[in-house]
This record gives sequence, structure tokens and C-alpha cells, in this order.
Amino acid sequence: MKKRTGLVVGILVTTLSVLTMSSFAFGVLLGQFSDRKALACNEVPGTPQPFEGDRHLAYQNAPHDAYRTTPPTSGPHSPRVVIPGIYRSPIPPELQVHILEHGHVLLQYAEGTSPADIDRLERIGRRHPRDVIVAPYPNLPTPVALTAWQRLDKLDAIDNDRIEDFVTKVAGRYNHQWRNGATDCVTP
Amino acid sequence: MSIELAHVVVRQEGEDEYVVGDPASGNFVVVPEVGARLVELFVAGRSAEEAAAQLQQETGEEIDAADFLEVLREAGITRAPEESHHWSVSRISARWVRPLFGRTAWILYGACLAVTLVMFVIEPSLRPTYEDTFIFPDIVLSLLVTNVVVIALTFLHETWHAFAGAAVGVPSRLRLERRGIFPVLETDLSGLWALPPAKRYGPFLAGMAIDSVVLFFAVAPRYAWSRGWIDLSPMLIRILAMVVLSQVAKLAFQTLAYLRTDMYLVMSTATGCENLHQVTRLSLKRLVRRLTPAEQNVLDTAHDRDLRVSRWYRLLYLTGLIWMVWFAIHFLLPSAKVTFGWAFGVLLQAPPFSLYWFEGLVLLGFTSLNVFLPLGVAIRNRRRAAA
Repeated sequence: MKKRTGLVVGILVTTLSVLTMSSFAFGVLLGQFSDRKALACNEVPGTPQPFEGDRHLAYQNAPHDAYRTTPPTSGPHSPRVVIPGIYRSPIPPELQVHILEHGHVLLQYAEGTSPADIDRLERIGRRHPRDVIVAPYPNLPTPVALTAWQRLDKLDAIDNDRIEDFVTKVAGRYNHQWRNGATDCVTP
Repeated sequence: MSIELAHVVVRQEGEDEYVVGDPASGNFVVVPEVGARLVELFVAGRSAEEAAAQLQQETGEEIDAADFLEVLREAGITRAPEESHHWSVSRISARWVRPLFGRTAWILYGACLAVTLVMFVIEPSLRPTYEDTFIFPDIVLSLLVTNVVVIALTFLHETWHAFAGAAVGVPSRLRLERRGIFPVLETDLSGLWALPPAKRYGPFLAGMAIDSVVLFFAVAPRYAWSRGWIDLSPMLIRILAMVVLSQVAKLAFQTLAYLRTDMYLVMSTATGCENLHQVTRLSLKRLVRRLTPAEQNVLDTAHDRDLRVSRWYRLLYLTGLIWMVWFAIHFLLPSAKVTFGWAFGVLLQAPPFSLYWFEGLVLLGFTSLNVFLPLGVAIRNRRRAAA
């Protein structure tokens, strides 16, 4: 009985060891197999934006050329990192670009957005905690803007379906490089 | 004064004949059953007087434990008493901590782990990613807070080991060690080997048990928040995600048995081994290098069970070594390269002595500590062994 217990525990512990090791070793590989093929450009929501560079600034406030869009969608960016989630303070443009470089979507709202509308936007963010950053943007020219790497969608009002569509179809298309056959859709 | 015998192996040779020895030095003596029992009591933290009194109670015979101890000292089996300072946490009275390791407590620990795994399956976004480290945009501040939280939770893990040891009357020591390329804090519960195997599992699993509780209390609020059931500060949500990353990494590490983690101790107890890891390591080493006389002695006096189990354990051990090299090349070195790159970039390009410049300096210090700490521990151990 004791010998059998030893055998069972030995097999269990060895299996756990191998599982932990293989989850690191093969996790990336298995993740690649499960990735869906990217959507064609005409199926991707928002409008494509020209490439403005992907250089890391040496430090947060280092000088750089002005971004061509508001909010920015690519270009030189801060080495600092902001992870998906809900933010109640504006995120500097240099940090926004770094977020987009990691494949995430920024959902930003203009100054004067009502608390009820902010709550609606934040609830969308809570449903996509690994993909979306929700934050205010005081100088936003429209009430709501969605950005991803080289992708922009400006909304005149909160439209849950349109936001959900953007988040689910655009997040992860770019993560330091275009993924699963996706392109910037700028050049034909 | 405590007696340092935790490293000693006791093996029954005949009906009333036991070998008591130090596998590292090769020193051993043959003693009767009463001598083996005395060693058990010394290892469990009893003084010579206490051990003699207990044995007299058990056998009804008068025992000269001090004389026996002198025999062990002359045989070179005991070690210097200054090495045997126990961690004060482990000196807590057993009656205070026993409820933490009763049947109800273990059901709760198991339930915490099981419910957490269910939440991970239902809501995959709750599973950790490396990004969870960055709770603040400021990388240095994130690393500072993350390190403080991880160290605090590591102490909690070790404290639970110490409490579980105290609950069965075994004091322990806390020390900084390394497991391969990983620096670790370790609660030395060697005194447990004097207890029956069934009493050792609790102390070995206690650290993982409290890790599971912390993990549950970090995941459950995020689960409720993501479902819209409760409102929490977004900052707290990010801190909880960082705690989840830390706890999952810690639990995953414990499954790597070949690094002599908690699961290794469970396995070697269940298989009845006494010195499995060392026997395995030396039996592999002799295939490529000549063993020292002391090392050869360890193998020559190894128990049959250790030799038998090491035949399959060596496969796991070798796989683990290869995996560790792979992990270092694919994860540790690239992440160190990125962090060193960031740090040097800031130091060279930010205005000297500005806030950003100091940030780069702190980042450099952190990365160096993480990369070189295992090396420092290895050098310290080598020096101690030589001394």
C-alpha cells in the first residue's frame, strides 16, 4: 500500500513538473496554432492611419516630432508601460502609443462626458480586461475615440455595438509586428 | 543549546542495529535502537536533558544522553552549534498554530485552490500575464512595489511552513538559498525527518496552502468586478492582478520537483527516500566526472530505495536541467537584456542627475540584483563549504 502511494505521488509530482515546464516551452507554440487568421482590410472597423515610426524614446519627456493624429496611432513612444484597465486620469500621448504597440485598444472620452456615460464605457472595459484601456482625454475633438496601432475610429456618441466591434476585431492585430497575416491596410 | 543533527541519516541495518551518519562527510556510527531514537529526538529540537527524560519515560530505563552525544561529536557527526539557530517564528507554541493545520483548515485550503482554478477556466482573462507586473506607468515604481509585495508574500509562505512545523513540535530555520538559477528563501524543516512520514506532509504543503488562499482572495474580487457584481478601485484591480501573477508563479515553481521544492519533499517522503536528490545528482555526475571520496561514500551508503527511485527521477532531473537552460536563454536573458537596455539608455541620454536619470540607476540596480543574486549565493555556499 505504502509502495503504491509512493508510486502515485511520484507520477503526480512528475506530471505536474512536466506540465509546468511544457506550459512555458510549448505555450507559445500552441498559442500560435490557435490564432485565427486576421480579418481582411475591408472587414476591419475604423480607418487606417499612416505609419509614424515605432522608436522608443530614451525617457518619458524626451523631445520628438508631433503626432499627425489626435489621439496618436503610432510613432515614437515612452519606454514606460500602461497595462489594460480603467484609468481616471489622462494618459500622455507618448504612453498611449506604447499601449497600442502592445496590441491593445484605447477607448478615450472627451472632457464633459457624463458620469453615467463614463460608467457605460468603463463597463465595456471591464468586459475586455486584457485588451482595453479606458481613459479620459481632455482635448479629444469628438466625444469618444477608439485607437489601435495605425487604426482610428472617432465616435460622435457612445455606440456600444460599434465599440465592441472595434475591440473584438482590432485588438491583437498588431503586437510589435502585424500578426496572423494582418497588414496596416494603408498601402494596397 | 540546540544540537545540530538535521543533516544526519539514520538507517536500520539489523533488528537492534542502526547506522547514524552524515552522508556529506561519510562519518557514521552503528548504534542500538535506543540511540537511533535519541538522534530522532535531537533532530526534533530536544536538548540532551529533554531527550533523556522523554526516552526514560518511553523505555523505563535511565539514559545518559550527554554521553551518547559525546560519542556522536567524536565521530564527527554533529555540527557547530552556531549553525543551528532557529527562526523565532517557528518557536511559537503548538497550541496556537495547530488549528491552522487541522482537517477543516486543509479543506479550506483545497477549496480555495479548486475554486480559483474554476474561475480561471470560466474567465480566462483572470489568468496572469507578464504585463501584470506594470501596475504603474513608472517601471521603477512598479518593480519596487512588485518586489515588496512578492517578498512579503514569500515570507508569508515560509511563515506557514514554520507554523506547520511548530504545530508538530519541529522548529525551523530561514535562509537565503538558490535553486539552479533561481534565488529562493527556504525554511529548513530537517527536524521533520524524525517524525513519521504521515506527519511531514502538512508542513511540506503548508506554504502552497497559504499561497492558494492568497491567490483565491486576489482572483475572486476581480472575477466579481469583471462580471459587474461589485465596484472596486481600478488601481486595486491592477494590484490584485500583480498578486495573482506572483502567486501563480510561486505555485508553478513549487511543482518543479527537481529543484528540491515543496513537491520534491512530498514526493521523496511518499517514496520513502532519504537522500534522493543527492544520490541522483552524484549517480549522474560519476558518468562524466570522478567523484570525491566523500561523494563516493554517499553513493556507497545510499539506501536501496533512493537508488531504485533515482533510476526514473534522474530523467526528470535531466529534463529539468535542460529546461532551466532553455528558460534562461529564452526568458531570463532576453528580459535582462531589455531591462539593462532601458536602464543604460536612460543613463546615457536623460539629463544627468534628473529624476529620469536616477530612475535608470535604480532599474540597473534591480536588474543586476535579480541576475546576480543566484551567483552570489553560489559563491557564498562554495566559500562556506571550503571553510
